[in-house]
Amino acid sequence: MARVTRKNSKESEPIIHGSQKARETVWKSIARIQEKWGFNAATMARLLHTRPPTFHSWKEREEVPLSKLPLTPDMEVVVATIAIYRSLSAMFSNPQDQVAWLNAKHPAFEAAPIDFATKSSANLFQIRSYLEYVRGRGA
Amino acid sequence: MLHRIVEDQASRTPIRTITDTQEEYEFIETLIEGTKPEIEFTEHHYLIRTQFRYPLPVAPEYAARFRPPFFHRNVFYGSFERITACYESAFHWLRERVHVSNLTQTPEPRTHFETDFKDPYAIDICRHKNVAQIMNKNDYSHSHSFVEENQQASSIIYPSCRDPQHRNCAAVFDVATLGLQPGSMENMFFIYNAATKSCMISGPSFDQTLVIPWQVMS
Repeated sequence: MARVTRKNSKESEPIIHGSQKARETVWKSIARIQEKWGFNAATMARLLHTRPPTFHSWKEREEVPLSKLPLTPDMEVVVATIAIYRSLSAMFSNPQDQVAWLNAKHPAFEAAPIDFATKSSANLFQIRSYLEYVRGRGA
Repeated sequence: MLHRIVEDQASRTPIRTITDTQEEYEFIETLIEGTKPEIEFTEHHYLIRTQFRYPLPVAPEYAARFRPPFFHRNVFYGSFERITACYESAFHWLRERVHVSNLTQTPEPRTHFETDFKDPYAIDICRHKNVAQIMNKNDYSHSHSFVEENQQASSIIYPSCRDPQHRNCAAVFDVATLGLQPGSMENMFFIYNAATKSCMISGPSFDQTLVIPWQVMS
């Protein structure tokens, strides 16, 4: 049987963890989330639990410092933020509704999720787990 | 046969909206999946086995009616009729919306699926003397006590407290009682009406829109 290959073989190569392409891909995802949610750099840095100059340097280089596995604590936060985006997008098609959910005081957290999540990385992980749980229930 | 409604399976790809290529999409998905617990039951379809992947024991915030805090088993919920699945799903759907102002009326696609269910050892509590307490809409203490007293149950059949007609549902602890693959699937839409705090459900197989107010559910 003939092997099916794509025209651009470079594009069909899987992205290797720790590679330059991996670092750029994660940054691209974060930048797109920032754009969809309309957050400024300061809010995004708070959500990612990183200092504004660090976030700025990621933006300048268009990559995050994603090394080989296991994930470092700062990259665990980045992945959790992308997971939160994934859950909210599954729950709300419209990014405006995703932001409305993040900004509304939530009974489970007694705070707006965005405020709760920016207080500590443990809180951010809790929001991630909560969203994955409620999605499973039908939210 | 059990019915369940889950997020849209046709366009279940939010990560595609923040990536450009299949390789980028797969990398981000793998990165996220790598930080989640392993799925234990690989022979069942994703839609069925995924309910059994939550980290155990569950903390109080992830407790459910038949999943007490610190319990050692996950649970798959299903309804014996589609309309009951609509009410059950609408409850959890509305709970993440009624506290939010300024939500749009964007139709949210959802997928309804069926799966086989066969359990001769199921515990049926529909005529249990404490069924009213076990099925209290807001207080799970009685249902948690019941589960702790029946820890080896493979499944529990109970009357829905969200469906106004209290049609039956099942809480399944043993995935072996479920079919390996989902049966028929259909798409439907949930729309939030902020003015009435209602969930409006429609789809190709619905004769008319089903309107479920939060007031009825909570």
